[in-house]
Amino acid sequence: MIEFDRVTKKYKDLTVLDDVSFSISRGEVVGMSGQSGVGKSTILKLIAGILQPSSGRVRIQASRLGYVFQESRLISWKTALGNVTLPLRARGICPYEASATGRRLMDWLGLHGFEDTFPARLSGGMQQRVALARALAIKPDLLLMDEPFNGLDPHLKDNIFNLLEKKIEKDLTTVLYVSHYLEELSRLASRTIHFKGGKLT
Amino acid sequence: MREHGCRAMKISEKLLAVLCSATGILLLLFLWQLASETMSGLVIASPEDTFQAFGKILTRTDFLSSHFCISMQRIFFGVTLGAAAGFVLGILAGVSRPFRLMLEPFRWVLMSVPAVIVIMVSMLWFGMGSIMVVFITSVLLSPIIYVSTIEGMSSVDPDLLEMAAIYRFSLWIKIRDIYLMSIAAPLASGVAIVVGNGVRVVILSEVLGANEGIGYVLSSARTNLDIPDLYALVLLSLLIVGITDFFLLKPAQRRLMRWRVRSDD
Repeated sequence: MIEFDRVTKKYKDLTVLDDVSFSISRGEVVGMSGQSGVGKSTILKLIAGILQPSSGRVRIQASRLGYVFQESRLISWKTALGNVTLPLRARGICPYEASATGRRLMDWLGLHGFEDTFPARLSGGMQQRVALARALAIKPDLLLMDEPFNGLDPHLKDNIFNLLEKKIEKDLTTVLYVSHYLEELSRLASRTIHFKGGKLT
Repeated sequence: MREHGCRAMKISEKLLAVLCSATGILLLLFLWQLASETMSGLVIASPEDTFQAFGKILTRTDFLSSHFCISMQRIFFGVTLGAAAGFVLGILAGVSRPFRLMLEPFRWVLMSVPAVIVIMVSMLWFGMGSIMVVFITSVLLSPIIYVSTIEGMSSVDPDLLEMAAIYRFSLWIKIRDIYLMSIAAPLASGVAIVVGNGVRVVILSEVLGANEGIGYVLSSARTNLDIPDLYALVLLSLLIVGITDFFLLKPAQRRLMRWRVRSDD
């Protein structure tokens, strides 16, 4: 599903990833940890195809990619539902079907009644749940999450994890999840990879 | 109960705003009246004479069907053409830096040259009439929309563009849902300025080089020393800008920006 073969990524003189190799199989849920600035987000961006490696090869087999960022990255002038359905509309899904899928997901994530609300009027936790709904709307076969639930209260985080666990298991989604917190990773991931100084440890 | 209290507070704030504006208008009328009493009627017409002249002008059929209509058409075409040209060039300049650098001298010239010089040159090129007025208006207004559009293009959030790339949004979705709405806020301010300036430039051009239009009537009133008519036409120009702003631009702006959290919410 994901294969990194001796990947190096440099930004000018700064080497962020140094000869990194690993692979993740279909349906696997993998956690990724490491200190800030060791290249975890770079790995996600290489997988998403918005960065290219300086050397080595990244192979991905995924047709539907969901991505949850550290910050929600919602479009401020679109309603919560508008944000959730946009990736579906981009894939040519008709508005009626996209709206039904979006509403179902928002309901499922406890956002019922906030479909027509603009992001600025939602709390941080709600915004992140909308961003998660957006990522799940396309039924991703690969879900990348970059410390998406930092700063959420533990009860809410627990609820989201419960829901995610069920969803991932049901849809056999491959997940790569970045977090500083090992207990979060062990909760969701079947194995964890750790980075230090641009290398896997 | 709390919601009711908030609503009552908002209503009282709105009432206060209306009262403040009304006080400002009354103060202006009072100073105008005072000035008209202390100075000659050939310099300042009194508010009463002006309002009477205003009523007379509006009941003159030749004014409404000819001069007023022609000026409104010129304002409409001048503002629309100027705004469209500024917008399209602004988008292209926002996308391409070399194109922006190439247009920079033109923008600088158009924003720096006095309007009266553009009018004189245009009169030489097009003679007197609508083509000259519309040309001047669109040429002088396009840089305002051009600058607003570039400002909007440079304020597009790169994080949103990255998100759009990851979710493989088409170019059309990117333009419609990200670029255009990022431009909307600076563009709305630009359009408000352009409409106000459009009325000014059209009337100025008509004063200097046209045989019809509000500006032509204004010029005739000045020549005949018909001061109340002159002031009534100034009032009419202000009303055109005010009505467009309050009943067209402001509601459109509010609708476009309804996603923003207002400070009183």
